[in-house]
Amino acid sequence: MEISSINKIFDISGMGLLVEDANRKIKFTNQKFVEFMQIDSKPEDMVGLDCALTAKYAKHLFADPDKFEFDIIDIPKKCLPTDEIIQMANGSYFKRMYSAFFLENGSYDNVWVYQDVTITVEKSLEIERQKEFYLNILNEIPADIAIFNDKHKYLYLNRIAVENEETRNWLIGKDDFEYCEHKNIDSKLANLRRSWFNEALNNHKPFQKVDEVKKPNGTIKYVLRIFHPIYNKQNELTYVVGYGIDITDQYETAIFIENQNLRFKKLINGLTDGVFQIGVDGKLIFYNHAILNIIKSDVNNLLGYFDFKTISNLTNKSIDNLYRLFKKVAANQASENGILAFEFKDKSIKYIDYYFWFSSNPVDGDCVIGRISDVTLQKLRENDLNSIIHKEKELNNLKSHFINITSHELRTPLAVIMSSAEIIDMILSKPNLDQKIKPENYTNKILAEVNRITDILNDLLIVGQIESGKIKFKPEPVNIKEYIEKIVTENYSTYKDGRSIDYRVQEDGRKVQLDKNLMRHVILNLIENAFKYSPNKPAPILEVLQTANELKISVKDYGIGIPKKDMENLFQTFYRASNVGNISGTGVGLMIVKHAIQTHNGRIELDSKVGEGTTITTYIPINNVNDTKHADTKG
Amino acid sequence: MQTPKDELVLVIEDDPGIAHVLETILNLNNINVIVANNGVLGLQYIKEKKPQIILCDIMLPDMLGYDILKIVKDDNEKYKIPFIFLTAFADPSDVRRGMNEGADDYITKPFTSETIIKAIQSRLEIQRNIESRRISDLAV
Repeated sequence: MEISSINKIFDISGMGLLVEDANRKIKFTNQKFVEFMQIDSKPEDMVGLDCALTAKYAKHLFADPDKFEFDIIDIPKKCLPTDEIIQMANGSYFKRMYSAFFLENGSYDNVWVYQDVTITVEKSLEIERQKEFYLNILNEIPADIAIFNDKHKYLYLNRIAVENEETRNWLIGKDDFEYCEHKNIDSKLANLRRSWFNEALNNHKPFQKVDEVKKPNGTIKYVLRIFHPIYNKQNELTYVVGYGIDITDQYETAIFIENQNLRFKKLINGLTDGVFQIGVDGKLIFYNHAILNIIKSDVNNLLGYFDFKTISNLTNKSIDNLYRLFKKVAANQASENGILAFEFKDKSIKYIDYYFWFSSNPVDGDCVIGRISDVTLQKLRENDLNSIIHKEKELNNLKSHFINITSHELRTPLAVIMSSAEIIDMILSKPNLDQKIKPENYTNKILAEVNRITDILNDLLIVGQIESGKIKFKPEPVNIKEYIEKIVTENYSTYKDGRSIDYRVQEDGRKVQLDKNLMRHVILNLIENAFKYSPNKPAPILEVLQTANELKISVKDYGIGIPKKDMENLFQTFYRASNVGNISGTGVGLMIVKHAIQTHNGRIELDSKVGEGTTITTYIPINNVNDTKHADTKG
Repeated sequence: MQTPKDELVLVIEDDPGIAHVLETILNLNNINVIVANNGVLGLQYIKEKKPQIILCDIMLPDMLGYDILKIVKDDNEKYKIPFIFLTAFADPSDVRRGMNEGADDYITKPFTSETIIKAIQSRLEIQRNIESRRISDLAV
């Protein structure tokens, strides 16, 4: 090939060529070379020039001129081929290749080739810089990062992953099993990580797990470990990025929050009070278990429901009441409390003590928080208590009424006693008085009035005994005819208004078991009432009839009668019918009658018509002694 | 002090015991007595027997003493007759009611004979004074 052709080829390829003989005289150079060295001559004019001189001339073009000059002298001495990149003073780069070219005559030529590789070098430098940049980032990220191939072998590890550089480098191309073996530790860790790795590969998506790592000081470090498989466009696995982030602080906080939450849930669900939070739109945001019991819900999860109608067994009326309260609290942004009656579809009722208040927070916005407690038991107890108090009050009123009546009833006999005593005194101090005024008339009066007082006090005493349950039941065999006649003649041979009782006794001769004292009260009270409430009317009739099984005692009068509305209460202590008018009385007589007859296991019949009269009939079973020996004495 | 036998005291009292001892006590003190044991009879006696003074119980079987008092005080001729309640109603409020209704005196049971006699005599005394003044006025 012609020299000129070679020259052209080198020029086209952008390479500078210099050939010198063993004596360092230039044998050949091309246009590109003189351009590179900025020599203001034609290439052919260079032939025969000393190469070292040329180097001296061009050395200022190089970043390290002295090294260039030295290398030009030194390299051919070794005759070894070199290939190197030289930085120029202007920042560009040349690739310089040297080779000794041996000739047939045993001598040799030095061949130098220069090529401008500035672009290539700068590119590779840029790549190097970028690589360093990313490696720095990877090493500086506070997470351990490892890149694996499809066999779970390490392709890369950052400094956080393995601090020791030697170990880090050792690990490349190896897996965790080899690591465990190398470090002589249990391969449990390797197995665990392999399973996570496989999990990510099998599911074609990142897999994450919190890894508990025991630190040398014994404390636990929590690492969120993620295996992230990366696929290429053909959906082939290229590598797997594994990274772990120390989330000890967050994890401990989360655990703390979770424990707090658990504690709070246990606490709130352990309450018997119901607690809930409801949005202003009516949506249930929060509730505890007690709510389910209180509203009798069959629904397991109430959250998000808008309507109590679907989640509770409350009646619509109760729900409407509830929503009215919610709306009021929300509208006024205030609170409401009180007691509500919850009516259920099964007709049962619960009394609910409630406290609802308005609340607003960034998470839920405006809402109503409620606390409800089932106070049914307390409410029922309160009702019981109120009814006891009411009864007590009523009884108290009756007692004061009784005291007034009794004191009034006692004043009249006392007046007679006092006056009689004074009259006797007058008779005794004035012996010449009218013979018709005899002291014994007045001593008799005193005795009669003392008996009257005694009767009132006895009634009072019996009421006291009945009320305190202390009255004794002492039945004994009684001859009815004798017993009745004695009572009647002793007390009612004539009533104080002059009337006499009309009485009939019909008996079969058998004795009847009676408590004589109690039955005396019955008979006297019935007769006394019959007279007392029939002024200016025919005398009452007493009828006693002994049958095979029963002793019937009946007292009939033609008096004022008993209004229907009073009949039910007539046998209660101190109760008097509404039509008694001015007729005095204590209101205990019939109560004693009722008690005495009940004690005898008997019964009472009342037949009365206002303005026409009253018949009260008592029935006592005969041979009643066996089963009533210790009858309950409470009336 | 003696009371002329022609002055009559009407006792309206349903309790025979009280009525009897009152009658005896007044008789022993030379006072004429007539007893009515109910309200209707009492009113009849007021009209027929023209008593100079009335002793009346409040709780009577047919009416209240207050009713009899009202009838007496509403009567132009009889309103001047001294009217004394004699009753077992001893509460101060009962006494006040009796006096407010226009009674001239209010005696509670039990009572002493002295209380009764003094109450009657002082009322009769006043009546006599008024009467004699009326007669002397007429004389002038």
